[in-house]
Amino acid sequence: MTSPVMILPDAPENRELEENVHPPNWVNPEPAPCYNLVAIGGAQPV
Amino acid sequence: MIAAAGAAGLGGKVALIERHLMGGDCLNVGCVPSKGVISASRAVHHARNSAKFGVVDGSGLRFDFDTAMERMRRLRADISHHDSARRFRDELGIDVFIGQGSFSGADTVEVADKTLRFKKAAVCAGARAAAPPIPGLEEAGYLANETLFSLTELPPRMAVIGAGPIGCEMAQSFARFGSRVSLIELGPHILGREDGDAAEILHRAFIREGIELQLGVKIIGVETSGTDKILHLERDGKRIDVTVDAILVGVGRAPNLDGLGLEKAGIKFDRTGVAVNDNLQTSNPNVYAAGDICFPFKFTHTADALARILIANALFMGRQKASPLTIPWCTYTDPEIAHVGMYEVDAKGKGIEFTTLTVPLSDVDRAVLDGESEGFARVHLRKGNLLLVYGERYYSAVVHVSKKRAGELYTRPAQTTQEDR
Repeated sequence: MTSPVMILPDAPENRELEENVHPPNWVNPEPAPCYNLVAIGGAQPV
Repeated sequence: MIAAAGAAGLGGKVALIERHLMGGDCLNVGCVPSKGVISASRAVHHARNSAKFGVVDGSGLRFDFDTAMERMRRLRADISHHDSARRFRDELGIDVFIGQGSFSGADTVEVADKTLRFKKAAVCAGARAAAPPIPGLEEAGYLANETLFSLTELPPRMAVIGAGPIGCEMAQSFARFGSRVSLIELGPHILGREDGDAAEILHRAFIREGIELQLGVKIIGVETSGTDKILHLERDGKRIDVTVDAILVGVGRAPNLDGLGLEKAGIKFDRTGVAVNDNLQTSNPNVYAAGDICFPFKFTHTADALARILIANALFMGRQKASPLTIPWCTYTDPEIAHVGMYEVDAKGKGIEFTTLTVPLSDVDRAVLDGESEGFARVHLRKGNLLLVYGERYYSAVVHVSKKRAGELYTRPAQTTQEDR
């Protein structure tokens, strides 16, 4: 389970943002045996 | 993210690892919130300067920083579902891992006590604000793009260190909000890389708007006295003190290399980032990189284009190259300064003979009536080439535009410009 990342200020819209981009209760999946691609970094596509 | 989405869309089994915030700098602390701030600053500026159009506000104009920042946060949250971890998992079928990803071998990455084995990997960990080695700055505390958009109170006095694009955009925005802004730059000009005439127009606009320009200075150090932060500057041997409530640092970007375990996978890097060849392949042939962590032009649209090259080369044995990319960019000041192609100084340095065409906006009736007559469009055209303005092609041309909406105006030339390399 992920550790909390507080996006400041503590406001409803920032909690909504955090719920999308760093869900507080996110559970990582069990890894597949092998991936075609592992990407490190989740920056935004345009 | 684009690499992962693209690979998954093509049927690959894909894992995406993010240690902090999905969407990266652009959504959370970069392009998106900065445009929210800039749009608010333009709104208040236009409101204050609309009397010449007959707009009279008898009740007096008041700007509320809290409302503007709340609007920015609300809009950022509203669009964040596009980048959400759940969307990538549920709609795109990607295994999303939140945690620090670190190579543990040539074909393995560790994240949150799990081991991921890969055929190919993409390092797209981005960059962060570079911290300048100024004595006392760390102790005084400073803002960077990671913290600026969390402000809830407008600093009455603000120093902006670095007159590059980010520094100029935020200096103008916060000055329009009502901060007394000092823009501090080691070089002799603002936007030192841009066309000199375009930068000069912006320089004059900053002076008109009351921004204090401290150019060609050396920053000796920062001292704290109560809540005051005092920047000690020096120009031509003369001491200048600037006292402010907040300091914003915008002096460039440093790649996010920490914690990646690159050496364990045989991936070469230095302080400028991950080393890649023109195909974006690292020294580990099964690992590629894209975006700010490996490329000198640190723009979201460039990272997007690089990620597409990465997918073709990593997954389909492509041989696409990054070097042919023509990369346009825009500084979102008022006026905006947009650019694509080679700078005049670079063309001269390469011994290229060229002709320069400049159209001042004062010659454009529409611009005059819009009240935007200060600015120009400029094309440098290689001598001997045919310029077919309506024939869809500018060969070897570079385009500068300085106008309120230059960022929109230069997209057509950007699509049709080819650079000499």
